[in-house]
Amino acid sequence: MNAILQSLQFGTPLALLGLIALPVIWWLLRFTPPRPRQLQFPAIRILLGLPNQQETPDKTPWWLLLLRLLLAALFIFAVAQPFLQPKGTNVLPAGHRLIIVDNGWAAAKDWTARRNFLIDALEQARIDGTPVTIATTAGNVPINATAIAASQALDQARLLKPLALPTDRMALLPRLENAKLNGVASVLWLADGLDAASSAPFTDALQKLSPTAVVRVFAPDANTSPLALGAIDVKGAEIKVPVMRAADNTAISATVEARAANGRVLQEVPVEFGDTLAANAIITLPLALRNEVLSLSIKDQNHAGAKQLFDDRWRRRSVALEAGVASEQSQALLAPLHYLRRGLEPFAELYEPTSEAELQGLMDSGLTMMALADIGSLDEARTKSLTDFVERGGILLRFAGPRLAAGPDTLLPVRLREGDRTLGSALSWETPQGLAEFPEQSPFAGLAIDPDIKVQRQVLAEPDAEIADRTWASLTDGTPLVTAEKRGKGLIVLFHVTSNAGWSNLPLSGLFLNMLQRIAGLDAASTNTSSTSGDGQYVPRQMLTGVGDLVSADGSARPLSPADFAKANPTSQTPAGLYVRQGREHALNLVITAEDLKPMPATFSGAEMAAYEALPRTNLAPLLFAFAAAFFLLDTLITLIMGGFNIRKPVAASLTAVALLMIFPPPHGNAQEVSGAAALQSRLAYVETGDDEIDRTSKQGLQSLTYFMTERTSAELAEPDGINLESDELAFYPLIYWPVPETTEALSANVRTKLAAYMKNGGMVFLDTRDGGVDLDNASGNQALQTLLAGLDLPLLEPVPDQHVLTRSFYLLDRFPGRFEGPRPWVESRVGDAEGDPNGNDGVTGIIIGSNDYAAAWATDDNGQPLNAVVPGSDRQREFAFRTGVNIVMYALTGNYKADQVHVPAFLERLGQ
Amino acid sequence: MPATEAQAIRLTQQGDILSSALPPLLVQAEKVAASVILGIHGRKAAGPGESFWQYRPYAFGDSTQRIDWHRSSRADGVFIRENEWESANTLWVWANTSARMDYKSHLANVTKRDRAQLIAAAMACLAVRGHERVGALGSLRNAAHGRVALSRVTQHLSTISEDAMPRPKGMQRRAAAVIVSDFLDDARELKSALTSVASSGLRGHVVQIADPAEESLPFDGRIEFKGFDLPSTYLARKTEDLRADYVKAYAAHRNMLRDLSRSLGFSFTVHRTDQSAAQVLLSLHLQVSGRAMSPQASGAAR
Repeated sequence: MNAILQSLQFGTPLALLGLIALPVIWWLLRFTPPRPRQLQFPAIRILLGLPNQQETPDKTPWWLLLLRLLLAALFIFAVAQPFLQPKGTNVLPAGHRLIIVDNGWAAAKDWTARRNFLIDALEQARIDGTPVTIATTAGNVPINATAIAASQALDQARLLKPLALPTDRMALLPRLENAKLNGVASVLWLADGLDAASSAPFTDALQKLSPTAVVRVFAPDANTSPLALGAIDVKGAEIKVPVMRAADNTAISATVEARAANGRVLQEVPVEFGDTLAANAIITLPLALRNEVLSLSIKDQNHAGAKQLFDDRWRRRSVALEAGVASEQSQALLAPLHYLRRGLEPFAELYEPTSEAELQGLMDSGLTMMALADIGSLDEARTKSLTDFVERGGILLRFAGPRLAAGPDTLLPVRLREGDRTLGSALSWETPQGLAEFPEQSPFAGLAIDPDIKVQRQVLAEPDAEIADRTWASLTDGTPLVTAEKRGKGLIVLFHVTSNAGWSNLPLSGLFLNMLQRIAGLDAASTNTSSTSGDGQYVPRQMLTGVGDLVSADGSARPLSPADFAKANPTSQTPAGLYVRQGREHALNLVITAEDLKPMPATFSGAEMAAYEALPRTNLAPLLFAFAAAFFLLDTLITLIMGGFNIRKPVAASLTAVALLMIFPPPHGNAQEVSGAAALQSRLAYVETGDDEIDRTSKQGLQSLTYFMTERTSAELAEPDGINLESDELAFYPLIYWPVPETTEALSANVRTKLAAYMKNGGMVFLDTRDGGVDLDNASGNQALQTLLAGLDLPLLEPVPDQHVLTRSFYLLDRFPGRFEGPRPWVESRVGDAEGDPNGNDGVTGIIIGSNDYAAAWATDDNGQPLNAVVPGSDRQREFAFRTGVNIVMYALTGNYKADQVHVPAFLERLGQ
Repeated sequence: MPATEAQAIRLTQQGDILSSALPPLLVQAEKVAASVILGIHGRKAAGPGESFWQYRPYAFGDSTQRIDWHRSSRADGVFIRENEWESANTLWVWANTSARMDYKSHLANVTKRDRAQLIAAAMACLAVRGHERVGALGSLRNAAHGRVALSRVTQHLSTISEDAMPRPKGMQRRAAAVIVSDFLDDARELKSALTSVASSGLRGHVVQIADPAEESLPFDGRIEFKGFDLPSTYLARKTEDLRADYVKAYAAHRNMLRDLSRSLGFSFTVHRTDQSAAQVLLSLHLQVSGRAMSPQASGAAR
């Protein structure tokens, strides 16, 4: 008891002052008796004359008073938010409390829990009445020298957000020293669990900072330590990014998502760690989609460390185009650059420099590809600048043409013969050539060859030893069509034909487009971003938050000069995010290595370790509120009774009714209509099998079929009945639907006689085996059906023949689907019986055996929504199921009436004559 | 007061409707020839009147002026033409319209006041149709014949007065008076009021109107009862426990009233507002016309 009292604490102790009001409440309550009902009554004189006039009390009875006082006291205590929290070992010394929070990206993953823990700690500090100081390890936030009250710190804590930065604990120490905190009695460090090469020295420094203080380190469960993404590496069409985990992390797999700017997931790649700590996720996307990629992130790891941003370096190519012929406006389709332009537009930024200086500027700011269409000889300066460009990693794409053929230069992958080769002209023996399969080492490998492509002219390479290696595409006779050579970091590619349709129809084909894409997508990482000659700064546009969201950069983010940007790391002034320079986006990503993910040691000398676990706290307020509410109800009840409300009769009656209803639910509305009412209207009937599920489906199916009939036909049937073959009269029903359960017993002799009489007198039984394909020929057919029909006098059966009345009694049908698209139903055979009158029914069958679970297809709920899916399933199939039902019912109602329609043409003919 | 007038007209109409099922009322006449005011209904005897009754031979002492010469010329004797004795009686009506009468419990359909007014008005209607003179007890006007008198009576009936008891003054003797009230007054007051009615020479017909709730006290629980005309209240802790005592006390009060009426020679009728008004009207009709006298009442009349 004592322990409980000791652990009892109040969230808002000031509310207990309300207890002072209790005597006032007592005094007030004493003098207000419950109010009686007032009634005007003429015979008051007689009442006044009654001998034993009762004296009514004008005071509330003491027990009611006590109840109300208790109610008020409970309410006041509940408002004071009492809770039980054993104090035990977790007690921190009173006095200045320093709370250090790791708020780098690693803490972002469980930030909500982390912040709630911080708030709990501050609540505790508030209850303890100790001042606090909050310090964060990421970002360079100065520390207040004076401690603030915990209630103020709570507001601060609620606003605290994780940053997209690594923690820098050692940088916090000088700030702590500068703040000159005095009288620190306890230090709480809410760590993110990563060592960051600083945890041990940091705790030591904390102890040195205030030698008397209790240092307590909260470490998260190692299993939940975050996964992180390493730097993006783009190689050709592949985007490779390492996914890392901490040693203790038990995650065995992760999923890397590539997302577009609008948040759309472009690709998800699963990664298995196996035994390693890091694994590479390889993302391969078509170029057009790759251009949309904004970020790569690890799924369900909501922190900045699991996100790497993509930028223009890896995305849009910038391509400069230049042609030898200038006059091209008049005939667009003949212009050398037209097809190039159209082909490259979708995935590259195109420039057509008009001056040497402009071209030089483009090359300096990171041009990816330079396309030259039929430029013959290059002057010295151009040759030098282009060579430079290629050496630094640019792609030079050249197309042949009359000029090139006339004067080849050095910037070519192969040596060319002077002049060109004409195929298939009037003066040549040779015919135009098609393309051969692309060689294995060619970047075009895998592209489908278009047989319509014919090359009429081309420039020829001097054959030498290396030509085979340099050939990316060749004609069917083996002469190279596309050659390439690696030079420096770059590449020179030559198409041996023109870039317009002059020499070949290659530029007109889709293949040309694919080839251009392949070339443009080559070796994207080799773009020359190292160029520093451009001016302008990298201006932050969007920045990452700690939880990995990309938001607009705020004022605190500073621009970076080009020189700094290459070696920049994210800081609080220059956060991770997207920066813009000269219209091109550059990403500044967090650099996380496997080293950064090392977990911090399990213990530190001189510091207490603790887990992020809230102290067990029992909140008593709900309990007290509940009691207060119960007392309030009780008080109301007492007041009612004292006021003369007669609680006994109505309440007792309703309570009894409720209790009875619960014990004996009202009988299921399945009462059998055995009376003659069934005979008054035509209606369908189904055989009750005793299986609730089947019977319900039968009922619902026939109900909706009846409704369907009313809507589509002139047959207006009454509600269907369920019948018991043993006891019910069958004669009233034109059609009896009989679902065959999986297991059944043989019919009794009585039922057999009844059924035989029913069928003989024109009734129709529609058996449904509900299995979607009974094969009556097969001896191992439906066992239940065999059991049922055993001993029943049945004529010869056959599947519904094509000209049978069933196929046209209302709708014209050639199939009879139910829930299944099974075989046709079986009916009485008329084979060998020309007049078709085997049992005196005008050839109308007395039995139909279907197997397609018809009632299930028909069954709908009250809103007309079908209850069972049809197999294979289409609205059309359901419609046909209904039509089948309509035909069967119509057949049952009208007999062979429609068979006469066969003779209609003959009648008409006779009438016409 | 147009509202009162409208009310009076409505009351007249309702009284007409209610009384239409009954024959015209002839107030029972005493076998004394005290009535001096001529009416127009005969007493089956020769006397002052306007309609022919019989011819009789002239006898000594008859005034020669009374000889009917037309009749005498056709016969040998001298005949005197006698008219039927026609005289009208007077019916006084009074209904309690005080605030207390404005009560309707959940068991009844109309207030006591409505019912009392209706009964009084219907009786007046009946009397007018029987060519009796009617008057409202307590009004300043004298009794008179015809619809005009009726309208005066209903007008007086429909004004709400706080008088709990009728105070007749200078009434004609041997006339009848219908007194409708709930009589939930002090026993002493009741006695003095009814005695004063009797002593003014009227033959009273007491009709006690009662709401069913007043007879049975059908309430439960803790109730504070408030009077209409008394400032005092009565707080019942459990009304259902009071019921037996109350019913007994109420019956005692009624017995007292009945005994008082009989001792004064008045008839006594009880009417509950959940019953039909026609019922009480029929019995009143019989009482007033003297055809259904209870042994005591007829004894008193003799």
